[in-house]
Amino acid sequence: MRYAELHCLSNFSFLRAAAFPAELVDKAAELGYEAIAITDECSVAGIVRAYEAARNQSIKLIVGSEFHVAELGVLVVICPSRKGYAQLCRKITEFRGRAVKGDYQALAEDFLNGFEDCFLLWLPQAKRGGISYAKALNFGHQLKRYWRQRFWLLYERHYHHDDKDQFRFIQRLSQQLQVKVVAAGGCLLHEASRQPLLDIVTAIAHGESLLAHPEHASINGEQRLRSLTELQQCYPPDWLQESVNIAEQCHFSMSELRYEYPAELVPAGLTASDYLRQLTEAGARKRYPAGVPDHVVAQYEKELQLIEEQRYEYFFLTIHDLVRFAQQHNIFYQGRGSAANSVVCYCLEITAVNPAQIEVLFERFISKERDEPPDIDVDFEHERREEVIQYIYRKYGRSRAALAATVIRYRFRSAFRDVGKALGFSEQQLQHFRQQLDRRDKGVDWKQQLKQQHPQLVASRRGQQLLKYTEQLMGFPRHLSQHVGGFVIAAGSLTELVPIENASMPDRTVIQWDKDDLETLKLLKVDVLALGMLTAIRKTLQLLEQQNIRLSLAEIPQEDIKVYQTLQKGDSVGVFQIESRAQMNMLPRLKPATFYDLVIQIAIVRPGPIQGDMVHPYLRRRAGQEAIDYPSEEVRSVLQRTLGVPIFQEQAIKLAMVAAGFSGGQADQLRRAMASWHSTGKLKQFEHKLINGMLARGYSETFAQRLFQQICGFGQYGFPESHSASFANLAYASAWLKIHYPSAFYTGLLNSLPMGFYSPSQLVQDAKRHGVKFLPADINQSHWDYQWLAAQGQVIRVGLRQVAGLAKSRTLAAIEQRGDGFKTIEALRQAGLFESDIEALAKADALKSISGHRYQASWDALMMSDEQLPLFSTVQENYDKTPFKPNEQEDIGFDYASMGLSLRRHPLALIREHIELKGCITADALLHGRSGSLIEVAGLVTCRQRPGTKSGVTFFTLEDETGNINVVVWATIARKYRKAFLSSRLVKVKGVLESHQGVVHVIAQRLEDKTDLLSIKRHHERRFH
Amino acid sequence: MSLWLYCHFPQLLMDTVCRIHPVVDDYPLAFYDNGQTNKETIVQCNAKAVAAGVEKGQSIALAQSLVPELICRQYSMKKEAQALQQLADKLYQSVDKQVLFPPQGIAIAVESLLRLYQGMDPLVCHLQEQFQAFELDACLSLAYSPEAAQCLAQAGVEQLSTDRWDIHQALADLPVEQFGWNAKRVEKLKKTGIKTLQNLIQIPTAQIGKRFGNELVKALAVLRGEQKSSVHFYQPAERFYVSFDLVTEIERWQGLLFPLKRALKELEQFLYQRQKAIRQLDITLHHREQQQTLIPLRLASDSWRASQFLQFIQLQVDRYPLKQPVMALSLRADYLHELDSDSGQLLADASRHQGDLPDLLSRLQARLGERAVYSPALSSDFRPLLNEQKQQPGVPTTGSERIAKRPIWLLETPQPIDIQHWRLIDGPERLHTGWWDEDTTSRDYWVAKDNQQRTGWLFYQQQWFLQGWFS
Repeated sequence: MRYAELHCLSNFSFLRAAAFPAELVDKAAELGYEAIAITDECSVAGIVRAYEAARNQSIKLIVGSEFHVAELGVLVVICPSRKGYAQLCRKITEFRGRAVKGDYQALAEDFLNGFEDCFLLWLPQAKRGGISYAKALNFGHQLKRYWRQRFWLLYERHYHHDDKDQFRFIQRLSQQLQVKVVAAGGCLLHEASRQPLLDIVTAIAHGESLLAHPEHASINGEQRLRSLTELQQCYPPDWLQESVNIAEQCHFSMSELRYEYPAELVPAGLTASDYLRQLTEAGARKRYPAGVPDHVVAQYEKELQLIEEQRYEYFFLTIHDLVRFAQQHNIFYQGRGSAANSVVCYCLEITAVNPAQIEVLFERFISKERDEPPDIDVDFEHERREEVIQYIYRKYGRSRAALAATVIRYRFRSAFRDVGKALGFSEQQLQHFRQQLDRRDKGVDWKQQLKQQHPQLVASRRGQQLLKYTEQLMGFPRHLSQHVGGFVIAAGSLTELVPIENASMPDRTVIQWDKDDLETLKLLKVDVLALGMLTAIRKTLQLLEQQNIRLSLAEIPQEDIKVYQTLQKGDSVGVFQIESRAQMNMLPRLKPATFYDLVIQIAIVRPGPIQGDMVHPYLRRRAGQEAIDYPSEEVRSVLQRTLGVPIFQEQAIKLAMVAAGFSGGQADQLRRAMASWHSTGKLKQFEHKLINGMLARGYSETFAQRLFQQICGFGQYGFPESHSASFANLAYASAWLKIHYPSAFYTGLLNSLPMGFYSPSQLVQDAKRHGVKFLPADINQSHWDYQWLAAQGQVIRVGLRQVAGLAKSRTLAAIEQRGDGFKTIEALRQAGLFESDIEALAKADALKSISGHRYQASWDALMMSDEQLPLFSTVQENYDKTPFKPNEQEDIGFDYASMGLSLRRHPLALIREHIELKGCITADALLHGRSGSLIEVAGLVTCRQRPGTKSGVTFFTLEDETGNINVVVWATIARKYRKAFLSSRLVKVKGVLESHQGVVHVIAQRLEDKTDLLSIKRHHERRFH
Repeated sequence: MSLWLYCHFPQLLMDTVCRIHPVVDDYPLAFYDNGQTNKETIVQCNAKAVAAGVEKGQSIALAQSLVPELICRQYSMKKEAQALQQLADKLYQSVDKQVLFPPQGIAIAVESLLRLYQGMDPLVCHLQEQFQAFELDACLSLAYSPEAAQCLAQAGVEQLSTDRWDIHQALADLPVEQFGWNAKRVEKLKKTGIKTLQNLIQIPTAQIGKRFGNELVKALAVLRGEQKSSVHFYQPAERFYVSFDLVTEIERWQGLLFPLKRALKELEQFLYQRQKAIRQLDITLHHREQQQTLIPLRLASDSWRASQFLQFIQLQVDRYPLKQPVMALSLRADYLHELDSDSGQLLADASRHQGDLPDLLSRLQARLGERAVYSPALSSDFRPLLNEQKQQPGVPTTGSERIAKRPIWLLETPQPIDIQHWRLIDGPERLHTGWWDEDTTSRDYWVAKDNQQRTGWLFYQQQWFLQGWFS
């Protein structure tokens, strides 16, 4: 007996089915089916996963989709040919386009045209008590007229009480319409064991608990892929045979999809290849005005040849077109990714990284062997990326360009909550259980944690079910979201390739595939990303230009010793990528002295290398405390540049090839497993092969085990060298600008917020410590943005953008009219500012030049104009001056409330003399303290951080008037001083000073909440009558 | 100028819950509310919670991190206002001029009371005793308007002097945040350096009006007692309603009796004060998921005594087994009768309702036991034994149409049959479901007719069984 399953839903029909596409394909192959159609509801989102699985199986995959139409029942459309597939994609796009995100609308008449090359399988009575026979007959005739021989009736039997009725219904309809019947499974599961999960997702979809609403449960597990014997018992033989007949007429395979490039990029009369060569050669002459060196020519010749062989010209041309647009509009950008670090990209000005600096990176340029699409991400200024996106839509039209999707999947938290609710737990109970889980350890051992903390839960039946099905649901797709910036651009209509649906953002559309799908099908996407630092750097360079210092990103002097000296001290606030607390602590230990050191610095402070225990060996070897040895020459070739310790993702893959004998294809699988979700599980399957491969090649067991562990570490948080290099470029540039032109740099940075790691207040304090003077915001002096007053030296005027509640457009208009300054509040009103604007300015103390101190300014601002005040218009008495004057603490309080920063004294400086803070050392004094001594410090808590890589420790960053203090709080101390630990804003810490290689920590022994001190003065002054 | 004493109960709901359910004192308990910011913050907490570091205004997440075993319940302003009304009812015996400021305050016009109690101290003493009897935390303050007294009491200032200057001083000292003004006004005042009422009143009224509007001028006049605010004195309700949450879910009747006794005691007092009696009392048990069990008590004669109600309830307990844990309890009596001599005999009274089906049913149930009388009904569960529900008589069925082809008459236990006498006419219907509880069913069912053309529902499990009959 032969059978092909033609109606089958995967979990990409969100919350309707309980099997992954690959599980369905694998199971169908195991059961000996001839073919399987994945027919997700109005979607092909899961089809690529199925295709990937089917490639490894001897089963035919059929592409199709299921639609629900109220008056027709269920319609299953399948694609026998490429043309049919294009028609299906168009229709899905149309149906999706009629509804909001995640929904679709299909009408009966939609199935009477536009499907000329598809097959239709009709299940007229899908919902019990569906349509009447007369209606079915009527519709059947209409469908028959259009679909003719491409039309079948579906019979699906799941052993329900009304099977017989349905059987007779279909049989009669078949006879009267003269349409054949085909048997199908209507499968939602690959095997019976998933039945509970199916019931759970159904309950989730209804938002109700199964216990209260058992009707959401399935009556049995028959909606699974059934064995041939079971099917034989279930259906008449000719209906089963018909499934095979249909399958045999289906010839379409996803491998037929070919990406066709937008042709308009190439001028008429030229081939893409010629044009790319022209551009590259012109670019090279521009890059090397003194003559292009021979080795550069040789390199780009090699690259161009590779590009031609792989036919990637259009990809480079597309990106070149985007960056040219950015150049023309003076938008800063930077290309990154493996292919970006090529000479071609350097010549096309896609990237500013001079390949001479990182010659070693070329090896991962385009892998011919792995046949994977080149990887280039382009970052644009975050404030102006939208211009680039709009350019793409303008140039190619919305039918040809769309964003890739991102599949949002169930994570632990969402799965736990949804399964819990379906099993009848209350929101509060679930919150209670979830509360104490260490959320940083994402998914790692949450079961173990629950078992320890809530033994009674785990012991109960429902608790066990909660755990079991939470785990099963994790990884299930929930919905499609938009990718951060991955565009797919097609030569013709994109909808012939893949359906497009609405995203939640207005005017955004996404295709139904994500980046993995695109990669599987070898479709190219262009990543248009946003990066704040580019905005900041452009603004900085513009400020320099105003001072006649002309400099482009590429012209920033390389390898400036001052940059490295500064960074080695951990002085990196505001510097791209290396400004975080962890990076800052690594700088004095790693002591970067070259550009490549920065590349390593950026990649090494990541959970991957930290978990894989690569940091310490690297540091020891760098410091000459540990011998550098290589088990073989091959390994040396891969690891030499990182002193024998794998730090980059590429190295891990390369090692698998040279040390464990992985072929290019296998290495590619390994790379994809590392990059994919839930990588640890997928990597397990490579463990045996990796370790045995290495043992066979004479490597030691320890080496092999360590390498596997390191690969697992990378899997979760690995960082490719090519990206690190691009980031290092910006890190270096920002550090150089900060050191040589601090005022310009801070002005550019402050005018680009929000971005980066630090608040305006922290940036301003850091700038002050670097000799920059700040002048307060003032309506008669400030612009909207911060200004560098270059004529006065290192002086910055705070911009009005910092004032909360001030409207930008009205402020800009008012500044236009300011002339030689506003003299009265009334003049501000006449300049178009609203009362709310004026009050905001008064609160920020930005009306000083008009009214004096802020209380007076508010007092004046509140004075209503006469026409507003009929009741009091007769009042004659003069009361222009308020009797109240702010003291310093009040001023500081209002500064923070209004602007988030203050140019006055630091709050800590005010209360430093308080008896309770006696003996506390300041941050700057800590640097000179003796390691191991017992000390006390106090500061505002600016950051509480619990790295996922180290359990039981929390890092506090405290801020005082002289700088920042790093405090390490171990779990026992955190528990002992729980309240101070969790809730204090001002904390006093007693602990041991630990100072090593310029990295200073305080290991906390006692925490005291001193938040009350912040308001002490106000209490004193309350009584004054 | 009139004098007002304001009594503020900052923990009214919490105190009420603790009084009705003393066991609560052993657990850290807090009420949270979403407030305007939509952030769940703690609004009330008991002593145990405070001792562990929980404070008002904390986020629920922080509170639970501090005290993992903290029990958190959603705060209900409605319930607190009910508690306030009950309190007002109680006070009504001795204090007639009350103005309610729900959900947490009562203002009392004290002038006439001062004469009655011969001074402020005895009056305050009397009130405190009353509040203590209710185990309420209260803050009392005196001023020339209910609003002014309210501000003081809410700020925690116990101002009990009748001296004009003292009252003025106490008010002047209050920060501007304490007057219940909207955040925008407070912000405006503070921006100009006005931090206390004292700061504000040192500015000429006209200037205040010019800058902060006439509304503030009026509010100040009310605070000073210069302008009378309109007040509505409290009139006790003519029906009784009390409702409260149980802190722990209660699964047995035995556990319900204690809080029930408390509630009945309140009912007794309520009736006694009004010299009323009742015949109908509805007790509602609230379960999770908004389900309720209604226990309607129908007394043959007027009554007002808690002990009598309790006795009657205990007689009926068997009829209402607790199918689900009880989370809250409410008592309601809508029709109050004048308390007079007995009105008629039990039997005579009952005979009046003989035509009444529910009454007949309940009496049948009382005689035969609660399981003996029921309406057959279908539930939405597919499994046969759970499919049949012995619903409360007369309640409409709610079965799903997906399982309409089921016999309504199910046998208590399936009977083995001889299949020779049966003819299978439809099936199988495969039931494999119920994995979420103990009763996982896994059987194939058939519809069949026997020799007498009766339609039965059969299944095979090593041998054939009859499960039920189709009608």
